[in-house]
Amino acid sequence: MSFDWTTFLLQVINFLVLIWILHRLLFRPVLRLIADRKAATAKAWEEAQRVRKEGEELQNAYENRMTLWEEEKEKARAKLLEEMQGERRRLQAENDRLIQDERERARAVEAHRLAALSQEAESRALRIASQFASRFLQDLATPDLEAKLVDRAIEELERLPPEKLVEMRGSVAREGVGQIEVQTAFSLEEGRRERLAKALQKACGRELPCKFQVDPLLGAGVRAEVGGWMARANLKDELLFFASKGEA
Amino acid sequence: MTGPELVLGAAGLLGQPTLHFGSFAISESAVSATALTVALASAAAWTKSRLRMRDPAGWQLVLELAEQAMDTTVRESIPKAPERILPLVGTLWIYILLANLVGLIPGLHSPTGDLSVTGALAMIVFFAVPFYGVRAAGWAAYVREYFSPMFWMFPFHLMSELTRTLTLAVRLFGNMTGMEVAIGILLLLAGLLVPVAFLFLHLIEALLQAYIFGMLALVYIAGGMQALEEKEQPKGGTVR
Repeated sequence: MSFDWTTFLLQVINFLVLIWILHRLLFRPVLRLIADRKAATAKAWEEAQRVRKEGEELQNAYENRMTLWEEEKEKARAKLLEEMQGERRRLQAENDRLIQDERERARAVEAHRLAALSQEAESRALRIASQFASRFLQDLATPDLEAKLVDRAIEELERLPPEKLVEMRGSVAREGVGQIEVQTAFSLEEGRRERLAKALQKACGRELPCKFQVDPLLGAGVRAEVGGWMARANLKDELLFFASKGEA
Repeated sequence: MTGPELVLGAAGLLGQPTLHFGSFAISESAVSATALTVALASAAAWTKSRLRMRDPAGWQLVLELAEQAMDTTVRESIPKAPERILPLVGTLWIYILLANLVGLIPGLHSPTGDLSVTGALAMIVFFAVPFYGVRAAGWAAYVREYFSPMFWMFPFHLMSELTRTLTLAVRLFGNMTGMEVAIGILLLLAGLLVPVAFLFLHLIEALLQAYIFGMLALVYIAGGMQALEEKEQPKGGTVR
C-alpha cells in the first residue's frame, strides 16, 4: 500500500475535468431532454385533454342537435300525418261527394230511362189501343152513332160557359169569319142539321151560313170550324186525340 | 527512446505497477484512471450527439432511467438546489463503478485499488462539503458551524471531517484491493475457473462500493447543508 502524490494530483484533475465534461455532455443534456419530454408530454396531454373536451362538447352539441332534430322530425311527422289525415278526409269527402253525385246521376238516368220506358210503353199501349179502338169502332161507325155524337155536340155547344162564348165571339169578330164549315161522316138529317147550325150560330153570336160536307174519314160524328175555332165530336179526331195523349 | 516498462511495486500484490516513460514514471492506476476519464468523456460526447427527443433507442431509455434514479436520490437528500450536487455525486457513482469493473478485465487493475486514486476522490468530497455548504449559507455561517455548540468543539469537527474522508478513501481502497488480492490468491492456488464465482462477487462488490461511496458523499454534503439550514430556520420564525 503506497501513496503516490502524482497519481493523487492527476486523479484530482482527471475527476474534476470529468465532472465538468459529464455535467456538460451527459447530466445536463439528459436532464434537459427528460424535462423537455415531460413538457412535451404535458403539452400533448393538455392538448389531448383539450381535444377530448372539445370532442365531448362536440358530442354534447351533436346529441343536443340530434335531440332537436328528433323533436323537429317528430313535429314534422305529426304535422305531415295531420296534413295527410286532413287530405285523406278531404279526398274521402270528395270521393263520397263524387260517388253521391254519380249515384244521383245514375239514379236520375235510371229514372229517366224508366220514365222513357214507361212513356214508350204507355205510348205503345195507347197506340195499340188506338189502333184497336179505331178498328173496333169502324164496325160501330153508323149513322146512328153519328146522330148521337151530333146530339152530344149540340148539347155541349149549348152548355158552353159564358166566358168561353165571349172569347169565341170576340175571335169571330176580329177574324171576320164569313161562314161555318161543318163536316160529317154521313149525311145528316135536315132537322139535326138545322139544330146543329143554330147551336153553332148561337155560340158565334152571329147568323153565319153553315156549309155542310161529308167526309167518311171521320168515321162517325161531326167537325165544325169557325175561323180559328174547331168543334170536334167524331171518331177520327177522338182517336187522334187519344193517340196524341199517348205520344205526349 | 525506450518503451514503457512494467515494474511491480515493493508491496507485491498490494502495490500498483508503475509505468516508466523514460525518466518519467507514472502508476498504472493513473493511466487507467485517465483512460477511463477519456473513455467516459468520449462516451458522453457520443451520447450527447445521439440523444433523440422522439423514438429514443433502448440504451437511451436505460441511460435516462439511470439518470432519473440518480436525480431522484439526490433530490430526496438535498432539498435545496439539488441540480448542483448531481454532477459530482453522479460522476462519483459512474466513475467508481466503472473503475471498480476495470479490475475484471484480465491484466488490468482497478484504479480504485490504488489509495492515491481513492484518496483523491475522498479529498474532492472533503472539499465539496464546505464548497456546497458555503454556497448554501455563506462563509460566516459555515465557519461558525465548526465552533458550535462550543468554540472548543472545532478540533473535534475538524477531526470528524478528516476521519470520515480517510474512511471514505480507505473503505473503497480496502474493499477493492481485498477483492483483487483474494481473486489473485485463488487464481494462484485453485486454477483458472474457480475465481469465476468471485468475479461475480467482484461485480456486486463494485456496484455496492460505488453506491456506498456516492451515497456517503451525498449524505456528507446534505448533512452540511441541512445543519446550516436547521440553524437558519428559527431566525426566520417560521419553524417552531
